[in-house]
Amino acid sequence: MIELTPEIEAQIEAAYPEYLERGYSTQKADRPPVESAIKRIYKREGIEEVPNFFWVDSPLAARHLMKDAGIDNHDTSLWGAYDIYWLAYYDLARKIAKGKNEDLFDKADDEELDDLLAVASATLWWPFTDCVVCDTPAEIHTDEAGNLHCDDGPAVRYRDGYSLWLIHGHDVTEQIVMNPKTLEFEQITKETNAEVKRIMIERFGPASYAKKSGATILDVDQLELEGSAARLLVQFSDGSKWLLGSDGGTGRAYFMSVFNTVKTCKEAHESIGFCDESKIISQS
Amino acid sequence: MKTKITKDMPFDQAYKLFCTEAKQCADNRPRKNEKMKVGDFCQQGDVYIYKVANDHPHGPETKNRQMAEGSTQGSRHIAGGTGKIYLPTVPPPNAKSGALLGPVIIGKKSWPLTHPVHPHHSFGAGTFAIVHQMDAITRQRVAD
Repeated sequence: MIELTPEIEAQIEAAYPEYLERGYSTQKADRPPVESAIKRIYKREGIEEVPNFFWVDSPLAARHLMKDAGIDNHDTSLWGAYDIYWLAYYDLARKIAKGKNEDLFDKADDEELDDLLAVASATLWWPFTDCVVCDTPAEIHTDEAGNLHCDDGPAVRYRDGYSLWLIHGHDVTEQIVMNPKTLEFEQITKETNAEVKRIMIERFGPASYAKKSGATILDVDQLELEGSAARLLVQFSDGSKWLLGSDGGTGRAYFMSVFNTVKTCKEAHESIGFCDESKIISQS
Repeated sequence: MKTKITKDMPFDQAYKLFCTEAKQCADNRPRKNEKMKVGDFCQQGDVYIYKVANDHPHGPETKNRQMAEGSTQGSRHIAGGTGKIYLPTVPPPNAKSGALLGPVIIGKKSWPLTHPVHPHHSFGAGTFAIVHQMDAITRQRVAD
């Protein structure tokens, strides 16, 4: 047993950026070491036949390739670079133990970990009789908290152009990021994901959304909890009712769909939360 | 801070004021719920956490410490600590009929409920039951 000392804690802290960089790497994969590592993984699993390797530039390209090859279970992949969050845990523990002249793992486990770390210079991989491996993206953008994020382009762009659009870690569409003013009012109102709807309204323009809703206010109240702001029960011009509230922690505004029978904010919240508000003690 | 919004305000004006006030009122410090009594509940985003009696029925243990199913950022309400997590069988006594049930947590010691966006909550030892908020249009758990 190795005691967790302040020195080791500092070592862990110092190693964090290195692993993070590996997970977010946009450097093209060094293919020969990746292929060698995968061959050893196959062998360890008792598969003697050496796989053929098919390298692709994006998960979408991998999907097309596998679909053309008649492979249905293409959603089952291993994560490569995206496995670094847990590979780092074992790799760092191993390094710390070695510094204390202790071996944390036996030789076989050490080699297995080495191989998985080698494969982590690529991203997703699909080990069938042959092996499909996806290279790293060309661009990855994050916010200060490390969430995938870009508000003027794709958060992740692969080399063949396939892109992922995210705002502070929330999956959205290209339209929401690049052309939010072209969103239709109904498109926003019908969005059922609470965070995506909030982002759509923020990017469309809260004032424009409010105007287009033609809403009237039916009730206003305020809970007396830490961080509680006002709540509004509103009815849009199409007759639908919404509870406009915030979480008390972030100041974000959420439109929550409620039943048309409710008449107060309290009644609206109790009906969607199945609760008796007199028993609430905190909210965030 | 008491709200300045009134019912007779035009909605666009009220909405603008709402956004300003919500940001001014927001308090991102962790919520300390150690003193909650059986029957009380607290809320983290769309997840409601009830303190229930220690003999509250539950199903088999699960190793999943995420309180809301899904892989999105919004669903990552994670029960920390050493407490055990169980599948639900019945709603908390104080929840209304039709409640959308989440797991049951039995903590022998204090434990945190963390989230990447909403402030964390901390709880004392005891038994807790999760209820999810519903989207009135889809009649399903709120997706986020």
